[in-house]
Amino acid sequence: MLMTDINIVIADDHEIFLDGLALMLSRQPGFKVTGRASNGQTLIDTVNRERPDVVVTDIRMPVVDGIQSTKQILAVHPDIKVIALSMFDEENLIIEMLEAGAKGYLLKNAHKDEITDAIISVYQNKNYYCSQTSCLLASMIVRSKASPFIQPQIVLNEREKLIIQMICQQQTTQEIADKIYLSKRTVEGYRVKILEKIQAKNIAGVVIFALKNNIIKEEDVL
Amino acid sequence: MQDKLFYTVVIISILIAVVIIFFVVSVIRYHKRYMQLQKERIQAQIMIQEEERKRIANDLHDSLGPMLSTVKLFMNSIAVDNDTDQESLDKASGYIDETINNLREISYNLLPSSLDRNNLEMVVNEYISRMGNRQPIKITFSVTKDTVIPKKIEIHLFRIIQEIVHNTIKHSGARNLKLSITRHPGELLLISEDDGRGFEPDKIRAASGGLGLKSIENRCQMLDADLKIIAAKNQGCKMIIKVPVYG
Repeated sequence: MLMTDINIVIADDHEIFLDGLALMLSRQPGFKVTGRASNGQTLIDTVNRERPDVVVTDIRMPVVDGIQSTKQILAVHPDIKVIALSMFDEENLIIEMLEAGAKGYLLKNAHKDEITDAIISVYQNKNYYCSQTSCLLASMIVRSKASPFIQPQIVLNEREKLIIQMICQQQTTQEIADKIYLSKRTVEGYRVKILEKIQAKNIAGVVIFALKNNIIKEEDVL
Repeated sequence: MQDKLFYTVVIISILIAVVIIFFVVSVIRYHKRYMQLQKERIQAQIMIQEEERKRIANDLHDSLGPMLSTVKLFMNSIAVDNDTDQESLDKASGYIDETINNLREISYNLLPSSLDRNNLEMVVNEYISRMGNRQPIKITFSVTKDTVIPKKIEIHLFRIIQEIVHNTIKHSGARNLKLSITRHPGELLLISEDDGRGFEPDKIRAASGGLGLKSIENRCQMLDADLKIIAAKNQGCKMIIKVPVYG
């Protein structure tokens, strides 16, 4: 449990979506929605006034879009963590948001547990990649200016690398187990260990890590 | 007397010739105008169709999508202490995800990844990775580095590529299809090459079908592009489309 509440400002031009998000977040222990905005300019003003820990914002908004407002917010308050909210098929916009300094992104229909997970992750200064990240987006992230920093201290053995490759090819735990003659349980254990080692929250993080460290090639996943 | 007759014949001949020339010229001009109108009509049709598709795709993406996400958020906010109720909520929330996925599929079919939001290279890559998953054909696509494709022509190039891929899968039996866009001074070259069973373009055109080819030709006409098809029986098919780019 966190010691103090995480203060959150949310922004979206769909008023009812904002209502839903505010209600959902306010029901989560440890979270406090301290401000809401319906466009990028009000978002900047609200953030300047409220100084939240985390900003959860839509990308396409009137007046000033999420990308511009993220840049402006981070220029003044570099410690604030921004999460981008997107609809499907907005890969380019997500990349622009990450390049503008957002620490993570979520699809708008993400489950509440994923939304809370993402907020806690970025609050702890970790990147968060939505679990529904496509392979295409993962490879775009690796190629982009927002490409994550490689932690050199992570050492993986051959078997772990092999399992990572298979995970990236979207093979199920059972399929992996059958191929490398291990029990399903053992493979599950490996999965958990791999996620822990590379501090990834989900497969998206694994794919990005693997691409970045040349464990897999782009053509293997695309 | 004979002179007079001669002149009369000459004058009448000239008159007849003038009338014939006038007639022929009119027919040619009429035909030209007809062709021009035909071209404009096709262009208008294509434009209207694309505009309509775009509008519907954007509505699905911008209004219905967020609305469904909102419903999910509200459902997620309901606190229940009964397992059966929780199960029902989870189920309903799963159906919303499914609906959003369907919405995405419909919107994609109308206007892939909404070209508004993404560039052609990405959209084509996504398209072929989708097609490649379902078909036993290897499709590759490349764009030379730093190629700027004018936004205005992206949709037409995409539809041409879509048609080529569709035709290749449906008719050619090819195992490989190579697509590329390269930049040259004043023009873009879209080249497709497959190793399928090939065809004879004239026969396809003459046959009742050939709608796919026709639609490629229509798009090329819109772009003032030059379309060259090199195909013969059992020798695969190569298409070279030269698109002029201004400015």
